[in-house]
Amino acid sequence: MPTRRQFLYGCSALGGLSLARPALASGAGADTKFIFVVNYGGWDPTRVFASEFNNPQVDMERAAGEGSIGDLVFVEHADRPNVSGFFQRHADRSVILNGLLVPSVAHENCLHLAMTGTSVSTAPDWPAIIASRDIDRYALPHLVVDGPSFPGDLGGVVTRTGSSGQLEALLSGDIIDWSDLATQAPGTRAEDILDRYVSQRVGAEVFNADYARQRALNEAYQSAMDRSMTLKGLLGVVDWGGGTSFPEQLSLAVDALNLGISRCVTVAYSSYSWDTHTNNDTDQSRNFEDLFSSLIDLMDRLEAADLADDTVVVVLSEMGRTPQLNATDGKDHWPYSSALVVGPGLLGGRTVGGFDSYYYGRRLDLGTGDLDDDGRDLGTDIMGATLLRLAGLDSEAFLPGVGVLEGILK
Amino acid sequence: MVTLLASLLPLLACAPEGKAPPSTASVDATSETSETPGDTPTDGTSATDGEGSTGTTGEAEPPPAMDPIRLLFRTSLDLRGVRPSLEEIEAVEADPAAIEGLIDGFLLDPRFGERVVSLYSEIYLTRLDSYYVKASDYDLGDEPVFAASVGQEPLRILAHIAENDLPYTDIVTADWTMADQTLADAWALDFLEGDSAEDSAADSWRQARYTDGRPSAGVLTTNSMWWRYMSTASNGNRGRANAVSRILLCSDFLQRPVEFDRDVNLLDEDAVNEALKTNAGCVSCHYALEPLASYFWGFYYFDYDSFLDTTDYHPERERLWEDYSAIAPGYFGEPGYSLTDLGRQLAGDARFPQCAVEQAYGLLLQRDVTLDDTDRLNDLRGAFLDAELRMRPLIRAVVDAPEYRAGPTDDERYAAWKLSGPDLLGSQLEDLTGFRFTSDGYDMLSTDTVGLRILAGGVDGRYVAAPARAPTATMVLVLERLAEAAAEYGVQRDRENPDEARLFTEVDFTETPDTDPEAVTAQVQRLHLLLFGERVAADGPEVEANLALWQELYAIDRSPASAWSGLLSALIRDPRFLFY
Repeated sequence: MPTRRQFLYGCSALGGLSLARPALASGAGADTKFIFVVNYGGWDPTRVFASEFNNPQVDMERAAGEGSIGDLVFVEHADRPNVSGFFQRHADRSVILNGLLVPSVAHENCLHLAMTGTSVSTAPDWPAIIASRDIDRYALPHLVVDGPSFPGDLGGVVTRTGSSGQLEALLSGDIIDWSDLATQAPGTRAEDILDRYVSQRVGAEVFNADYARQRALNEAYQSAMDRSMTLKGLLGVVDWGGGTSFPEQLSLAVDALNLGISRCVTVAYSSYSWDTHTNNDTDQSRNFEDLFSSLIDLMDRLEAADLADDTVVVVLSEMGRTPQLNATDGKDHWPYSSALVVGPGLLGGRTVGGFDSYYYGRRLDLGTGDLDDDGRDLGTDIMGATLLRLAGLDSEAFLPGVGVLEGILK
Repeated sequence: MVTLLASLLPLLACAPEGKAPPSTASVDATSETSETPGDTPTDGTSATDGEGSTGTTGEAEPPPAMDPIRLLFRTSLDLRGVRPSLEEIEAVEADPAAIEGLIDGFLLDPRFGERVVSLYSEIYLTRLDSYYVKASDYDLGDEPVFAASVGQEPLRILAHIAENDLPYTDIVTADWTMADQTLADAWALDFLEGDSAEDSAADSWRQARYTDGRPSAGVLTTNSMWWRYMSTASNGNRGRANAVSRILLCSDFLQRPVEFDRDVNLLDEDAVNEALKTNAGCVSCHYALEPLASYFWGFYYFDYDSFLDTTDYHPERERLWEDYSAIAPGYFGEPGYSLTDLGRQLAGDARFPQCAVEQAYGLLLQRDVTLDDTDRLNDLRGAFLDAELRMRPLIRAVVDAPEYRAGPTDDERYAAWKLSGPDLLGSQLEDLTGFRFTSDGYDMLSTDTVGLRILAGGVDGRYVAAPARAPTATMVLVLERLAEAAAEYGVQRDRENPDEARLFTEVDFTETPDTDPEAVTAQVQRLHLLLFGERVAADGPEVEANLALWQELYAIDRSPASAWSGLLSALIRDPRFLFY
């Protein structure tokens, strides 16, 4: 028979996230935070990132032109002043990756490939890996405001806010008022008592576990409970329920980083769809202008919060679009795309990679970032390995043999 | 940068008392178990064998079997979504072998079908929150009900097959579907004759048949499947072909590495079509995918968000493959003409029953199947074939497997601990307390837009395709609020209807530990028995701790009902409730 102490109070030796512990990660990038901006549906790189005006195989917009700031080459258009405006202000910290290979043309698979570098369903995504290294420093290591999350076996580091204010309502207890059946939440005092009791019980289960798996499961519960209590402590400080529109998502992302509760935040551009099988030019132009308007605002917020020098913003879509318009003025799915990475640790002001005459991605010398037909395809795995390096992680430990695009790193 | 972390530290910290966690081997084996008479497994071995060991299992030594009471809870939850009754617990306490008959009963329980729906939703991924076509298109007012009904159609076919001991091949050959009144109101469906009157409730699912002349091929000819797995002209139903291969053959084309041949001009349609037939890198998948895809043109929609185009099957479009791919329908080399042919071909494929076995095994063990499982899967396949491809015997064989029935072990082949997902949390709390969390008609544990499904560790069918296998912060929060709401509701229910009380039979909510310690103690013991299957001693640490909690809660407003509600919510949040 367990003693009362074992049943209930053994947790005192173990309970609670030790947020004061030093970070597991160390070295350059160990403090770098990340915001992943996912653009679901498949964007058309030729509207902003891929200047293919000399490629007869590619339908470029007639009114568009090539813009450049140093070695950063992009596509300008009078209808997209925010795109040009963004690069004018942030070119020095921006790298455009062109010819990014996402070896599929199915949305869900491409999304997985873009975020994990593999189609293996159990592989964790980049933000989960990065966040998992600093689990003791952040209450919510990876906050998913909207968009995909592929946590693999790192689910414990991922927290979703929900899209209708669910997290806010869960934290406050107001969610119980949503019930169609009449019931009510306990008062604050009772809630505190109950939280303490349950926390002790979970700690006791950790303490008394005879098996490593059993202990790990209960430790996951304990850690999750600690995080939930941290979240409760932030009720009223963070507007958890406000992240429904894309600008609101970005605002919440900055708040989470600014408060030091998250290392990675995933948001999803949600204003319009990128899957433009029809009306490609009109819709992509609108989307990019809207996206970059929000990105300008995001950078302003990061700068105002003194976070710009600590935060990498990764802007990607799961696939590209065919170079030529189809019969309905749309473009279909294409396995080569582009991504934009903005932030510290980068040799910014540069467009890396490119497309060949078939609009396939060109190969690179990873060491320099220069085009090299004898080099490597720029796959999403290489992009991911490079992001892990930016985060101060040993990418080889997670993606052995993949290689890092050293040429874009300081 | 200003951070609030420093001010939050006291909230998170649990003051250490200078005692390090014990090594696995150093913990007293008796510390985990309580006074459960059912500690003797049905095979006669001691349930505590090995619990004080190093926690590692020898190469050839299987772990000890799970104790019968715990197995009773696990099977009851897995097969009917609720915890066992007091009578069932007592029956197994009296005779551990009685559990085998009870499991047979669980498989016949009316709630078994709901479990099939829930379990296989992780594979079919059809339970989306919304579809391109809305309830309002059909002048139906209840959008969440409509979406829920659409998402369940193929799962209900599977459940009907399982519940009625129909051959599993019906999943791709049946000339019927399943519908509730919502689907019947929206689509061209007639319920089959002979349905009994008691099944006519609006939310009941009944056999039905499409009346638009579509072929008969089980889930292959349901609107729900192809609303979930839409296609475009350029995709040419390849996504649908892959969905069929993934779901019914356990072969996902998208899991294969893809190498794009740089010598093929993807901009040249003729070159691409030629490459799909001749280029080794393309042919490896497309030789099978293209003909499979060509079966689905009858479900091709020119206007995928129009109910006018997507409600009915289009026989006139069946041969559109001639225009789009010029590759005739076929199944791995065997030609066919209609989805009925595809159903027959799938049903005759040796991979088809093998896949069913792998899915049942993986779902009930809550893990991916590996090569190490080959022998067990072969055994299960034999049992499935011997049972003429009926699902109940297959599921029975899985729950009989040592990997399912293992007691504590660190060997990951064995499902020593499992985690309750949102469906399971919802169903068992409803059974215990009467509380079902709905909001404006939305089932909060099976939707995401306004609900809590993925926050509670579930899958949304699109972004989140695999359930959480360990607690997350939001899962813990959902459990907390669900526990609070259900406990409060359950206390009120039992208080107002004492003759029908499920949980609170020992008190009438006037007693306190001071006025009637025997009754209060008995009630705590009853809660432990019904929730955890544990008989705790009246003077044991569990009761002592629970009474202390009760008193603390009671001190707030001097309300025994509130104290009981709080205590019950704490027990629901206990790890022994979440892990099973």
